[in-house]
Order: sequence, then C-alpha cells, then structure tokens
Amino acid sequence: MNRFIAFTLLLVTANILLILLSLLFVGRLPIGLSDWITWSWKARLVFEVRLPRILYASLAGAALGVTGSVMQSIFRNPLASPDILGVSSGSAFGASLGILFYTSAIYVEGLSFLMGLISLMATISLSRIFRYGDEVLRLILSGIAISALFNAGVGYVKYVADPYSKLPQITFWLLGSFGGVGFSEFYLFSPLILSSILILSLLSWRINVLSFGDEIARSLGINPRFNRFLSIIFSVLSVSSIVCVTGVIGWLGLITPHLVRPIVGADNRKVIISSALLGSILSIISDDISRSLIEAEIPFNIIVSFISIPLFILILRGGVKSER
Amino acid sequence: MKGKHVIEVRNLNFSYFKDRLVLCDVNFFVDEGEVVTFLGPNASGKTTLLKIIAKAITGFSGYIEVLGRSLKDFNYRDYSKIVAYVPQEEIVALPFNVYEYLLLGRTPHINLIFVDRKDYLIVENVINLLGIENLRNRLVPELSGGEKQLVKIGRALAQEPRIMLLDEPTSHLDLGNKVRILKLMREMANKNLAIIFTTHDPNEALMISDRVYLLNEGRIVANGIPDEVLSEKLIKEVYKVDVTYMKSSNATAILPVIKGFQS
Repeated sequence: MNRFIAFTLLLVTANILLILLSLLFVGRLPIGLSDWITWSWKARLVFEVRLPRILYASLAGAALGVTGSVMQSIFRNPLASPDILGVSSGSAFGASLGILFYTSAIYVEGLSFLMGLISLMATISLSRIFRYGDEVLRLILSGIAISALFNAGVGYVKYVADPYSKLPQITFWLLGSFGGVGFSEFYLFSPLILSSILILSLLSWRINVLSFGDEIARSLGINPRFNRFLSIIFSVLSVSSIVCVTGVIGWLGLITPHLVRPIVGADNRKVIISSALLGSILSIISDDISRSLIEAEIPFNIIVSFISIPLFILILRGGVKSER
Repeated sequence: MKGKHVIEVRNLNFSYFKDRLVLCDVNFFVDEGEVVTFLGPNASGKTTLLKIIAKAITGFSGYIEVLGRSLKDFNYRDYSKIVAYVPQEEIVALPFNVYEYLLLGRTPHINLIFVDRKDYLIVENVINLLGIENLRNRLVPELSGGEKQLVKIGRALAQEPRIMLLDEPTSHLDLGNKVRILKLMREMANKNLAIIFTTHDPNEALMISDRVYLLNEGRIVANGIPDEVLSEKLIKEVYKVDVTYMKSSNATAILPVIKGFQS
C-alpha cells in the first residue's frame, strides 16, 4: 500500500508541474515570465489557446488509461482497449463522413460521437445473435466484425475524398491531435469524461471480480452481464467524447495499464487511479511535443508511440520488480 | 445424521441440448458438518451438478432447497454469502497477488467500494488457518498447482460460507498435496461447514467422506456410507474395470486389477 501511495503522490506532483510548465513555457510562440507577470495581451491570448488544450489532453490521457485497464480486465485480455468494441472505427467513419460533407468542426465532432455510439450498439446487438463461445468472446468477435465494417467505410470515404483538400484532413484526423480543442469542446465534453472516470473507479472492485470470468463473478455475488454492461457504457462514453474531438488516439489506453501494473499490481482500485494519472502525464508530454517540436503539428499518435514504446520495453523486460 | 438438511434436491433434471439429459432424476441431501462426495467417471455429470448447486448454471427442472429456501428465490449476492464454489480450473488473467486474491472472497459481504477493517482481519485469519503466510505477496498466476488449490479454497473460506462446493479439488495434485487438501476439507466439515466435492477417484471418498453418491451417466446409481456402498461389483459396473479391495488396520483402498500383470 505504501508503495502505491508514494507512486500516486509522485504522479500527482508530476501532473501538476507538467500542466503548469506546459501552460507557461511550452509552445511555438515564446512567452517570457515578464509577459505572464504583466498579463500582457500576448499572455492572455496564449492562455486562451493553451489552457483548454492542455486540460483536455490531461483529461483524455486519464480517461484512456482508465478505460484501457477496465477493458483489459473485463475482457480478460492484455491486448484489449476500447477499440476492441469497434468504437474507434465507428468514430473514425463518422468523422470522415463529417469531413467529406461539411466544413464546420461541430458536424465532424457530432457525427463522430454518434457513430461511435452506434457502432457500440451494433457490436452489442451482433454479439446477442452469435451462438458461439461465452459472452466475452462473442463481444470480441462482433467487435472485430463491426470494426472491419467501419474501417472499410473509412477506406471508401478516403478513396472518394478530394485528394487535395479533404483527404489530408481525414488522414491527419486519423492520426489524432488535440489541435481542435477549444473552451467549447472542453466545457461540452469534460463533465462526461470526468463522471465516467469517477463511475468506473467506483466500479473497480466489481471489475476485479469480472476479470475472473462469469462463473466466479456469480459465485461471488456479482451479476456479470449487468456490471460488464455498465463498465462498457461508461468506457465508451468517455472514449467517444475524446475521440470525436481529437481523432483516433487509442494506443495510449492499451499501453498505460501495462506501465502501471508492475508497480502497483493488478488490483483495479489502484490500477485505475494510477493509470489515470500516468495516462494524463504521457498525454500532456506527447501533446507538448506534438505542438512545439516543429512548426507544423506532429500527429499525437506518432509522438505517443515514440515515447511509450521504449517505456513499455523497459518495464516488460523486468526493469521494475513487483514486491508489494 | 448430524443436523438439519442444508441442501435438499428432488427430481433434478438437466440438459444442455434438448436431446440428451446430462442429469436425470437426481435426488440427494447434504447435512451440516458433512463431507459428501459425488463420485463418478468422466462425463458422468458431476461438474454440471455442482455448477447447478453453485447457481452458475440455470435452466434445470426439479426442486433445490438451500437452508429451507428454494434456490431460485435467492439473488446472486445473498446466495454467495451462503455457498462458496471452488472451480476445477480458473484462469487468473491479471497478476493479482495472493492477498488481493483472498480479499476478493469478501465480495459478498462488502459494499463493493470500501473494504472494512473486519474484512482484512478475516483474510488474515484465512492466511493463518491455511498456513500460507509465505505466499502472501506471490502472484497467483505464478503459483504451483497445489498452492493455487490452497489459495482457491482460501478465497472460498473468506466468503464465510455455510456450504462449500469443490469441483475435483485434487485432480492435478501430487500425493502430498492431495492428502493435505482432503485433510483440510475434513477439518472444515468438523467446523460445521457442509462440504460437497466431486472426484473420479473412489479412494478419496473412502478417506474422508461421510456419504457418497455414485453418479453414472447422469443418474445416481448408489448412495450411502462409502465403505458399505462402494462394492467391487458396483465399481466394476460403473468404471468397467476389475478392482480389488485392500484393507489394512488404518486404511482401505480400491485398486484396479490389470489381468496378466499381477505379481
């Protein structure tokens, strides 16, 4: 337990420092300390642009970390992430349709969010038709099918899209970026994301039990279907609200719990909190790099991969011993 | 008979598919403080029977009464406070350590958000009772077969049940671990738990059981005190091998006879 508390304190401190530093000093437009102290127009402008973006990046990283650990537990599979239910593909299809037919960001975000939820419903209904394996396996299989279907849809939209204006936009969207985040997106989606994180962390004990399979869950008095459904709904709600604004950024959700477990163990009561904090840190750092390394934005997913894969290798080859 | 029936089953029928009955007209009862064995060859319906009593499978016909109430009237949570189930195989997907794993046995009793001081104490008691202090921080997926079985029983004990169902608890264990688990089950029964376990080995029934039900192709073909019921003829009929009884002053065993190989 002590190890967990120390780790949490470390992560919280790092988080706060990172948010402050990113807000004050990271960006293409150089702002000195004097600007901030005198609260010049330059400082005010940068504040307006950077604050929602950094906060959203932090929130998104946290939510992805949480949903990653939730999905890996309830699907009893270390490779699971919210993408497994076809939600990201659905969102991507919605967004690419939005980009194809409209110019306003609201339509892109709206269509993406909607298609994310529709793809979840499609996956769940398809899994009810299947007569093969247990419910977890059926969900995974139908998720793969729905995912493939929407990926084909995205492929088709890319194929017919104008290669000079629309196609680059779709491609960039698919690589993920926090560039589109302003205060309106932040106000609209952050309550949804925050409450989902809260509810999922309250469900963490049940999620622990679900990781042992339906039979054990029942014998411990937990209704597996109902609790799995709850966990999925809130995971998907938060992920859809992130993805519709930022594009597909699922990889962070898969990897964060793996970085955390060697340190705090498997208990989701700890893993969910630590994943939220670490996910947030990774997300802010990646976004900092993506918006400031070169003049143009570098897509978020590329940076996340460059940062997290070395960490992943380091930890999984046994750099950190588990001794709680 | 030591007490009131804690489980009573009448006319139980069950099938996974319409055409083949897995369990056919099964009747039995279990009393407090008893060790009851369901003995039978592979595919005789033992595991299915246990899962039905564990409320892990529904869709049976017949009547099951647990502590005077119909099984169907219990919700999962209330039922899990009374009945603990130890499955034969359990895949632990996440690297839980033994302590966390045992704590999950408290699930039926806690509010699912915060764990009480009392729950930690109960887990400590289980660790002491089983003598697994050395395993406390080990990861469950990395335990040996015998250790895993102990820990599984430990989690069931943490549930503080009245009835414990164990599905082939000794099937993958070496002689030492096997006897340790059997002894443990006997001790738990002496503390007034009702223990029901399945096995395909008649000798385990002889060693610790108060009563045995012999299952074959979904039917109970014999029941009673093991020494009296498990005759050579009956075993031969059910398992389709020749056997012989060996009796010494402190043990009875049933051994298969392979013709042409007697020394």
